[in-house]
This record gives sequence, structure tokens and C-alpha cells, in this order.
Amino acid sequence: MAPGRRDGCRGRGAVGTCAAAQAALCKATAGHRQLVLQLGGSGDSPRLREERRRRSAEARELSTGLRRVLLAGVKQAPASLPERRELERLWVLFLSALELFLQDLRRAHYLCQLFSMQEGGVAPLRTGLGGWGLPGRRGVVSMQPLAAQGLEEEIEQVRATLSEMESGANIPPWTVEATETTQPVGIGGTAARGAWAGPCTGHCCGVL
Amino acid sequence: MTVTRLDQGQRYRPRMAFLKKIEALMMEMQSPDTGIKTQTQTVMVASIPHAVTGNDILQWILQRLQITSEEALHLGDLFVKYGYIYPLQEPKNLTLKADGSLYRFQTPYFWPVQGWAADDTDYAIYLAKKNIKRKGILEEYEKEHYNMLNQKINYKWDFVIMQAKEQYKAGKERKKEDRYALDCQERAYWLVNRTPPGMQDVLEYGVDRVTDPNENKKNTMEAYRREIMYYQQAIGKTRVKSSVSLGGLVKYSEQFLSNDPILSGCLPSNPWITDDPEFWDLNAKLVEVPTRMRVERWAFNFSELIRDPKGRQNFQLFLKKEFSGENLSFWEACEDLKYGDQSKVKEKAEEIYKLFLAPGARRWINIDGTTMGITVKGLKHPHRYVLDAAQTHIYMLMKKDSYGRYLKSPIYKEMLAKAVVPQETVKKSTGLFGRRHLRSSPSPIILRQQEEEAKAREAATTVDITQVMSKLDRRNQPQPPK
Repeated sequence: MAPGRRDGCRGRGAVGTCAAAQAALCKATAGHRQLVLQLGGSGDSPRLREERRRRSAEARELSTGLRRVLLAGVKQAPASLPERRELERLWVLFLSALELFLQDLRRAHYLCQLFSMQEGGVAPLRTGLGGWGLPGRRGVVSMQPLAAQGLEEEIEQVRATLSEMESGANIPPWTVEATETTQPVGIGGTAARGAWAGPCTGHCCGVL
Repeated sequence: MTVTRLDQGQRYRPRMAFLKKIEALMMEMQSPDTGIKTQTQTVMVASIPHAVTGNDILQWILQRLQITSEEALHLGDLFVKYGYIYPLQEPKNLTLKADGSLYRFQTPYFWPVQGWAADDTDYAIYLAKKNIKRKGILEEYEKEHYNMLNQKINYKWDFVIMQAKEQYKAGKERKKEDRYALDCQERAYWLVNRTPPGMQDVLEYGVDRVTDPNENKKNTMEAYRREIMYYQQAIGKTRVKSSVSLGGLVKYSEQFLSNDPILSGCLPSNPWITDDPEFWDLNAKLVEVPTRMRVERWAFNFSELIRDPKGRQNFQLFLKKEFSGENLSFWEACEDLKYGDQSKVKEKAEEIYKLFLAPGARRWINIDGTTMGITVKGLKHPHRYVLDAAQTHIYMLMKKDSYGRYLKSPIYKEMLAKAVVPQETVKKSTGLFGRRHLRSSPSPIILRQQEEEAKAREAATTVDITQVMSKLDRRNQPQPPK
């Protein structure tokens, strides 16, 4: 987020404080998703769309920072094995978040086109949700063509980041093991737990 | 990071034109003048707007589309099943009730859109969220999905949990009524897209297609060129007249009619009916004396002979007399390479080369120069099909040349004479109350071991003509001066 934090990452090694930036990215994408959820519904309003744009910008800024740090980390090639494992884990985490974000951006693009906020446009669905902030729907009409373009640019930017990352390093995703060992839910208690002991021998810290 | 399936070029859902039509109707339903009137739903102390009764939906459809009430009910029911409208009082019962039951419109984000299908990662996040909200609330089938997804996308699992937590927190920031509505929406979406067992999956559409039905076909030179090439290839494919192929089917049926156990019965008796396994014993893979029907079948065509292990054994005896035993052995070795243990492909291929193909090999097979060239080249990078060309050549050789003579040979005739014709027994099964002495047939593992021992013995003792001839040649050649 703040430039200071990014420098901190570079100073202490790529693996160091990226976790915080990662968490912030997850938060931004989760918030963004909730806003996109309401597009076309009764919660839709110009203010909601404005808020969505803001969240999207925040997420993209975070992703730019993370991308720089992770790419640098890969180029440096961390010496110790646990550091390398951690870097790969963060890599996969980041790319998964980017993918989800891109998916939501595409959906937002589709929905914005379907439910443009112009006068005489399609009436939004009455989905039971309260409006976001001010009830006024007649927003800034002239912003519409700009909005569509803006979204397309956002999508392009994230897509470019994603493809840059994917071609930047050869980290096969299946080599990463989840650190969160979720207890297998419910069925077949002991048998399933035995099966889990296998794949998660590497680093099992937190239990959900 | 999503590990996608092997791309066989099939990734598009077939055209589902009805989706767009339903969407248009949905949007019409919102119109303040001609749309459906809404009510407020009271949930505990909160009241959530925009609830619609089933009857109102039905009446609106009737009025708008001018169809019979039966059709209207069915159509409205489909709206609910496809997830455009969801029931409020009985969330899992996705049917339209033409009474005062309440429904609500689904948010367009959760519409079943042609462009994207419900994602596994999204589902994993949803289930994780549900689990975080209240542990143990997942249903049985949801638990199964959860565990399965954990294994399937394990590398993403950190992300899934992180994102689930964040989405849950984001939901908590909303006011209670909104949160309730959002939860209902999401639950309805997943009930449609990951149907619980016992519920019909309406979104199932079969196999994915190769072409994108939503793509706007561009009328470019390139597109036309590709189309022309496609049709030219289609015309160029070899075809067989249906009269010819049907004639072949009829001939096959007539020839094999007597051998069909269902149509012509089987001797001594059908084991499935009489519980008497003698039929299987008499027709065991390498039985001492085969049945007459079986030996007669070998004369139908070459593939019948070669696919029967007893037939191969007999044929091999004949070939040995003709000094071409290495052909069948080579064919069998190729089959073993194709269908046997693939981890030993390299060793097997090398052995086959040393034994059959190398110049001066002990059991050298006679194939033409081109095929030999291709085979030797392919053996540099051996795989299960590397000997296909040579195997086909040898197969054809045996079929066109040796097979005909075999059928006229004394070896075959002797086998035919020795063959047994079992008596028909009308042994009635004594049913559940009789104690049948059930013998178990020999274990397949033991059978296989015996086969391999026999093969090894045969390979060690076989002396082919080439070996003998080469020895004679060397003896006759003038000795170099000492």
C-alpha cells in the first residue's frame, strides 16, 4: 500500500512482509466482489460504481507492488529452501487472487453494459438490497462511455500483469502445499485424517 | 494459477438461447408500470423489501405471454429452477407455487450466464465461508465437495481460506437486512449450480463444444479459407457404401450365428442358467483339448486364429515346421510391448531388437528395407507403438502366406479331429438349497506365471533355421590362413 511498506519488502528480502500486502489485496478483492455482486440489483447506484472503481484501483495498486517484489524475489533466487518454498507459496497466492479479481472485473464489465445507468436504460432488478449510500439514481450520465472504457482498461491491465507473472517464472502450481491444514469436515473421521498426514508433512502450522 | 484440464479444444457451452430470453423477461418484470408488484418480507425483526408471491409471478406470465396456465406454471417453474428467481420460505424447494409463497429476484451477478460457468474456486470459497460462519453447518454433500476440492485445488487452499475470511468480514460490515439478502442470494446460486443429490441439475448440457456459439463470425479471408479447407478434408475422407458395410455385417452374423451362446445355445450348458461351469472349463485359455466349435472358428478368418491363445499355440507348431516360427514370436513380443508393463518399455524394445531385428540376430525376421529403416529409427526413442509398422508387416505376411497353408496342414486337421464335442447336459441347478461344490478356477496370477515359464522355456530351446544356416555357412566358408 504505502511506498514505505514496499521498500521494507525489498530491504528484508522478498519473503518478509509480503504477507501483509497479500492480506490487503485479498481484502480489496473481497470488497470489490461484494460491490460487483450488487450491480444490476436494487443496490446499484452511481455511488456504488464509483466505490467499485475505487476498490479496483486500490487492488491494482497493491498488485503492482506485489508483482514487483515477487519478480525481484524470483530473480534473486533465495538461498535457503524454506525461503524458496515461502516465495512459491506467495507466488501462487498472488496469482490466485489476481485470477479471481480479473474474473470479477470481466463480470463487472458485462453487467455494467447490461445495466447502464443512463436515463431510459434498463431498470435494475429489485433484489431486496438497500441502496449504497445516497438513494439518488440519476447520477452523472455523461460518465457512461468513460466507465465502459475504464473497465476495459482495468481488465487489460490486470490481464497483462497476470500473463507477465505466469511467464516470469517457472513455478508449477501443484508443487505448493497449503499451510492451512483444514480438518476434513465430518465424514469418515480417522480414515480421512490419516490421508491428510501424507500431503501436508511439509509445513503444517495453522489448523482452521 | 488454475490448472486447467487438457485443452482438447472443447471449452464452449452449447448455445443456450433461452438464457437471453429469460433475462429479457426478468428485466420486464421490474418495470414500475407493467412489472410485478412487490411486498415486504418479514424475517424475525427485520423487514426486507422486494418479495413477490408465486401467484403474482404466474399471473404476470399469463398476462404477458398469453399462454395456457399449465404452460405458464411450467415456465415460471423453470425460472426458479434456473436460478433467476429464488424461493424465500423453502429455499431448497426450487419450484414455483401458485399461491402466496414468497420469492425474490436473483441479482444479475448470479444469473446463469452463457459466458462463464460456476467456478470451483468460487465454490470452495463459499463453502469455506459457510464453515467459518458456523462450524459443522455444511451438509453431507457439501462436506464431500469441500474435502474433494481441498484435494483438487490444494495449492490454492491458502488463498481460498484467506479470501473466505475477507468476504465474510466484508459481509459483516453491511447492515443486517442486506446481509440476510446477500446470504440468501448466494445460497440460491449454489443450490442451482452445485445441486444437492436428489435434485435435478437443470444446467447440465452434455459435452462442451469446439466452437463458441456466442462468437461473432468474422467474414475474413482467413475464416473462409479455413472453412474451405475443412470441407475439402471432409469430402476427401474415405467412405464405404452402405450396401457394402451392411453386407459385411450380414456375412459376419451368418458366420458366427452358430457360435453365439444366446442365439444358438452352448454345449454342454449355459453356466449362467444351470450353474454348471463345465463350459468355462472346456474353453479355458490353454486347455489340453479344445472344443470343436472353437477349432472351427479358427478357420473363419486369421484374426480369430491369432486372438485365441490355443490357436496361436497350434499355429506356432505349424510355423516351426515351416521354419518361420520367429514371425509369431515377434508378433507376440510386440503385443507384450504394447499392452504390457510400460515402465519396462525401453528394456523390452532393446531385447526385441537384439533378438529379432538386429543384423545377424538369433531369430531374425524378414521385413523389407523401408520398414526396417523406420523401425530402427523409431527404436532410438522407444514407446509402446514403436514396432507397429513391423508388426503389421509380419501380421500381413502370416495372414496372406502361412495362414492358408496352415488350414490345409495335417497339424490343423489333427487338432480338428481331436477336438471334443461336449454332450448337452440338462442338469438342473439345485437352487439355493442344494449345496453345490464350487471349485474355484486357478488363480490368474498362477496362470500367468505358468505362461511366462512356458514362454521362457520355449525361447531358450527354440532353434530357428537362420541360426542353423548361419552356422553351416560359417563352417563351409574357407578358413582364413592361420
